[in-house]
Amino acid sequence: MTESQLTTATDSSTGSKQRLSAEETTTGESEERTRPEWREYSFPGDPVISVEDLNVWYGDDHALTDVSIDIPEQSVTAIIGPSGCGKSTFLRNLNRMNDRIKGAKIEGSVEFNGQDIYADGANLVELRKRIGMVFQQPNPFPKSIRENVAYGPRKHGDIDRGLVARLLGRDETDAEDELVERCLRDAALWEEVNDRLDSNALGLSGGQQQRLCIARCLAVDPEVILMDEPASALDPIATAKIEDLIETLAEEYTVVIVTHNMQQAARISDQTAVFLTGGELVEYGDTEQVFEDPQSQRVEDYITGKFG
Amino acid sequence: MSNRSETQLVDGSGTTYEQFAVGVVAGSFGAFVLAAGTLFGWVPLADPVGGVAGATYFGAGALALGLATAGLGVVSRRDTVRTTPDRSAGLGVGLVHTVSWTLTVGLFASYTLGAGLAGWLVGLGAGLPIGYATVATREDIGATLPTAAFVSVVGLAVLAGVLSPDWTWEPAAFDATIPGTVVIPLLTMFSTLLTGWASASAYAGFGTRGRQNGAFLLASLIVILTLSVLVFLLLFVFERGIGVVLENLTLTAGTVLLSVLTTLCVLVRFGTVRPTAADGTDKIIAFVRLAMAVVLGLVGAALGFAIVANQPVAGETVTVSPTAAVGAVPGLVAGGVLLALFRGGDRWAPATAAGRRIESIRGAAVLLLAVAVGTELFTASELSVAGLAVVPTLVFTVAGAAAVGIGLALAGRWRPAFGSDTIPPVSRSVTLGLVAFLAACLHVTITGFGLGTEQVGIVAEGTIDWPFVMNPSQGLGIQQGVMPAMFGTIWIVLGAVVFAVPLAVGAAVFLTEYAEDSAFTHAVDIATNGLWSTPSIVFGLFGLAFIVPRFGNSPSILASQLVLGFMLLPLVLITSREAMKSVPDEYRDASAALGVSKWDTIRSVVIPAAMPGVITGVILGVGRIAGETAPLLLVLNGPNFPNAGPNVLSSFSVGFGLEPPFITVTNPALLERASALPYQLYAVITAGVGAEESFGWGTTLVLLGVVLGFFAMSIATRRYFRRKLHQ
Repeated sequence: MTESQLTTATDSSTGSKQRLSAEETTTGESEERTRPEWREYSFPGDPVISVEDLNVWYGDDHALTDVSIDIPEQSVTAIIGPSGCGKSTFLRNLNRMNDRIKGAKIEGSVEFNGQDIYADGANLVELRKRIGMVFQQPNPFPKSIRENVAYGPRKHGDIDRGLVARLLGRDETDAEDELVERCLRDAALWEEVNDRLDSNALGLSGGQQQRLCIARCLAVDPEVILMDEPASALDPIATAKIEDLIETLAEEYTVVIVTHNMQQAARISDQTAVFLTGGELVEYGDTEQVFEDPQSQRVEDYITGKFG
Repeated sequence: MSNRSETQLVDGSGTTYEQFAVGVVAGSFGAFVLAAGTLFGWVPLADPVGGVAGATYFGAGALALGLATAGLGVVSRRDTVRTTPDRSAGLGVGLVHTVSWTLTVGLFASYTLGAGLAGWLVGLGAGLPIGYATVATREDIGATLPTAAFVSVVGLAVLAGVLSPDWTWEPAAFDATIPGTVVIPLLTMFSTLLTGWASASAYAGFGTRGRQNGAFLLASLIVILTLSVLVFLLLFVFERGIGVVLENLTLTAGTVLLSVLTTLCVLVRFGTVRPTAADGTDKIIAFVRLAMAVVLGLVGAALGFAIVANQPVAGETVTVSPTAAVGAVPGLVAGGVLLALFRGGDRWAPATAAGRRIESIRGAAVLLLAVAVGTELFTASELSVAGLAVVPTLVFTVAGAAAVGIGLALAGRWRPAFGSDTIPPVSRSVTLGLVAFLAACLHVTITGFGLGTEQVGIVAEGTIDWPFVMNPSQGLGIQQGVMPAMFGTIWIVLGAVVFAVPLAVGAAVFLTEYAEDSAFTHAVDIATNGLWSTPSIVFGLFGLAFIVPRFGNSPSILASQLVLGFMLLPLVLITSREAMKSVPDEYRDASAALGVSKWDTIRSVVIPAAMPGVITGVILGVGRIAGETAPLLLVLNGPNFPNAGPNVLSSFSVGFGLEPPFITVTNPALLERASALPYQLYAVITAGVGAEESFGWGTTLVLLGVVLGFFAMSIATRRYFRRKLHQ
C-alpha cells in the first residue's frame, strides 16, 4: 500500500487508509454545517472520493460553493447542470488539474481513499496516475497510436524500451505490445486499429480519437476515471459507443462523468449529482430517484426543462 | 420566362463569346510577357523583325487588343450574348481609369506640350469624365470601353510613330531622360494588364463571377511576376558563374552513370512518373518527373554508348572520360542510397529447407564481409591471408552469387519449376550485390588500392576532377579556386548553428513554458526582435572587441562562429517561441492528466511538435549568416586567398592529464584566421585593376550552392519531423 500513498506526510506509518490531515477539520466542522436540502445519500462501503465543503474562486468569481459529496467506487456518477454551473471545475478539482489555472483559489478538502489530495506534499504524479481524466475535445498526441497508449507507462518508467534498454538487455517491447493491446481492447478500439498501430493518431475519426484517449488513460492503471463531457464533440454513433464503453468500464473503475445531456446521464449513471447556477450542489442521489422524484423544486424545474 | 433563363445554374460551355474572351486574355498575357522581355533586352524593340520595327508589333497588338476588348463590351451591351453585368463597374475600376487617364493626359499636356500646371487641369478634365462614365454606365460598358480607348490610343500612338524607340522624353522637372525603349514596354504591360482584366471579367459574363475572374487573373499575374523575379535572379547568377565553376571539370563515365542510375531510381521510387494516374497539379508534376526520367535515361544511354565506343564526351569545358571506373566515395554514397531504396521490398521468408539454407549462407556471407571490412577499417591496411587479399575475394564471390541469384530468380518467372520458395526474390539478390559493392567501395577508400582494371572497376581517386571547387586559388590566372573559402563558410555556419540552436530552443522553452506572461517576458521579446534587426557590423565590432581578445587574441573561425551564432540566436528564439506557443494546450493538459511531469511533457510532446517551426527559423537564419560579410571582415579577417582549407576535423587533439581538468581538447585550426565565400567575393570584387569578374560570379554561384545545400538539408529535416507529427 505504500507505493500507492499520495501524501508524503511523516506519520504515514500509522496506516495509509487513515485520513491524514483532514481528519480533525472535517469532524470539527461537520457539526455546525447546514445540511443541503437533498436527503442523505448512503451507499454500502467506503467512498473512493469524499469532498467536504469545497469552495473555488477564479479571481472574484465564486465557481463552487460549499460542495460536499461522497462518490462510491466502481460505479458511474454523473454530474449534470446548466452551462457555467461549475461542473467541469468540480471535476478538475478531483485530480488537481485546476492547479494549472492561474488565479484559482481552492478551500475545503478532497479525500481520495481517505487521503487529502490538497495536503502539503501531495504527490501529483501519483494522484493523476490513479485518477485519470478524459477531456471534452479528443486530444491525442501527434504521435502513433501505439506511442499514445504507451506514453504514460513509458514516462513513468513502467515500460523500459529504447536503445539503452536494448543494450542492457531489458527491452520490454513485448510487455508494451501486450499493454497496448489490452488497453485498446478495454477501450473497444482494438478491432478498428490493430492493423495500423504505427500510424498517426490524428488520422483517426473523432470517436476513435476519444476512445484512444480513454485507452491512453487506462494504460497508467487508474482507479478513477474523470470524464469531462467526453461525447459532446461526437456524432450519435460514436456517442453510443462511448456510452457502452463507460458502462463496461464501471465494472472495474470508478467513473465520474460531467455531461450536459440529461438523457445520457439517465442512461449510463448509477448516481447523479445536479449542480445549479452559482456552483451549488443542489441534489445528489440514485439516478432514478433524482430524475423521477427530485427533492428540490429547482432541480425538478431544471430536469423538466423549465429552466436551464 | 426570359428572365429565368439568365440565372440558370449550369452554363453550356464554350460559346463563341467565351472563346473570344479567352483569346483576348491569352493575347494580353503573351503581349505582357513579350513586353517584359523587351525590358530585359531579350525581345528586340528598335531592331526590325521580319522587315518591320519591333515596336510596330507592340502598337498593332495593343490596338488589336483594345478593339477586341471594346467588341466584348459592345456585344454584351447589345444583349447578343447572355451575360450578367451589374449596373455599374464599381468605384475601384472607375478610380483606376480616372488615375490612368489623368496621369497620361496630364503628363503629355504639361511636359510634352509645355502647358505646365494647366496641363494637369486638362488631364483631370479627361480623367474625371471618363471615371464618371465608367461608374455611371452598365458594367459591361464601364469595364471595357475606357480600357479599350486607353489601349487603342497607346497602340495608335506607337503605330503612328508618336511614340517610337528613338523618342526620348526629357521633362525639365525630373532632370532625367526617359527613352521610348522603356516607355513603350511599360505602357504595353500596363495596357495588357487592363485588357486581360477586362476580358477575364467578360469571359465569366461580368457580374460577381466576372469580377472574381478578373481579380484571379491580376493576382496570378502578380504571383508570376514575383516568382519570375526570383527565378531570374538565380538564373542570372547561374549563367554568369557556371562557366568558371565548371571549368576543366573531368569526370569518368562510370561515376556519372552510377549517379544517373541512382537519381533515376530515387525519382521512380518517390514520385509517380505516370501522368495518367494523377490529377490536377499532380499531373503536371508527374509530367515533369517523367521528362526528367526520360532525360536521365537518355544521358545514361549516351554514357553507356560512350564507354562502349571509347569516345570521350566533351562539352564547353566539361569532359567525361570514357572509362567505366567508379570513384569509391561517390560509389559509397550511391550504393548507400540504392541499398536504402531496395531494402523496403526485401522481406522473404523461405518455406523450404533449401531456401532456409540459402538464407543462412547469405547471412554468413554478409557477416564475413562486415568483419573483414571492419578489420581493415580498424587497422587501416589491407587484410590478406597467405598473400590473398580477403575483401576482394569475398566481394567477387558474393557479387557472383548475387548475379547468379538474380538470373535464377528471373528464370524462375518463366519456368515456375525453379520454385520461388527456394530461390530468393530479385530484390533480395540485388541487396546482396549492393552490400558487396559497398564493401568493395569501403575497401578501396580505406586501402587506396583499386579493384578491377583501370577501365572497369572501383578506383580510389581521380574519377572527379573539379578544379574550381577542389583547389585553392594559386597566383594570378594560374588557378582560380574556392576550396578554402568554401570550407571556411561551411565550418562557420555549422558552428553557428550548433552554438545558437540549443541556446535559442532552451530560452524559448523557458519563456514559453516556465516564465509567466509578464513585463519580463515582454521585455525579452522586444529585445530579441531588436537584436534580430541589429546591423551585422555591430555584431562584428562586438566580436572584435570582446570575443577576439578572449579566444586566442586573433580573428579566428571560432570567433566568427560565435559572432554569427549571436546573430542567429534571436531569429531561432523568435520562431521557436512562436512554434511552442502554437502547440495546443490540450497536449499539455493530456500529458499532465496522465501524471507526467512538466519537463517530460516539454521534452516528448512540446518540443517535437514545435520542431518544424524551430527548423524554419534555422533555414531563414542560415541564409542570412552564410552571406554575412561585414562581421567577417573584423572577426575572420584571414588571407583573401589562402592556399589551404581549415583543417578543423584533423586538428582536434585530446590530451589527458592528472590534474584538473584532466582532459583537454584543443583545435588550433579553429583559432586561426581563414577565408569565407562572401569574404573572398568581397576581396575579388574590390581588387580594383585586374579584378576578375568571372571569378567573382563563380564564387557567388558556389556560395549560392552552399546555402541551397544547407536549405535542402534543413528542409529534409523539417519534412522528417512533420511526417512524424502527421503521418
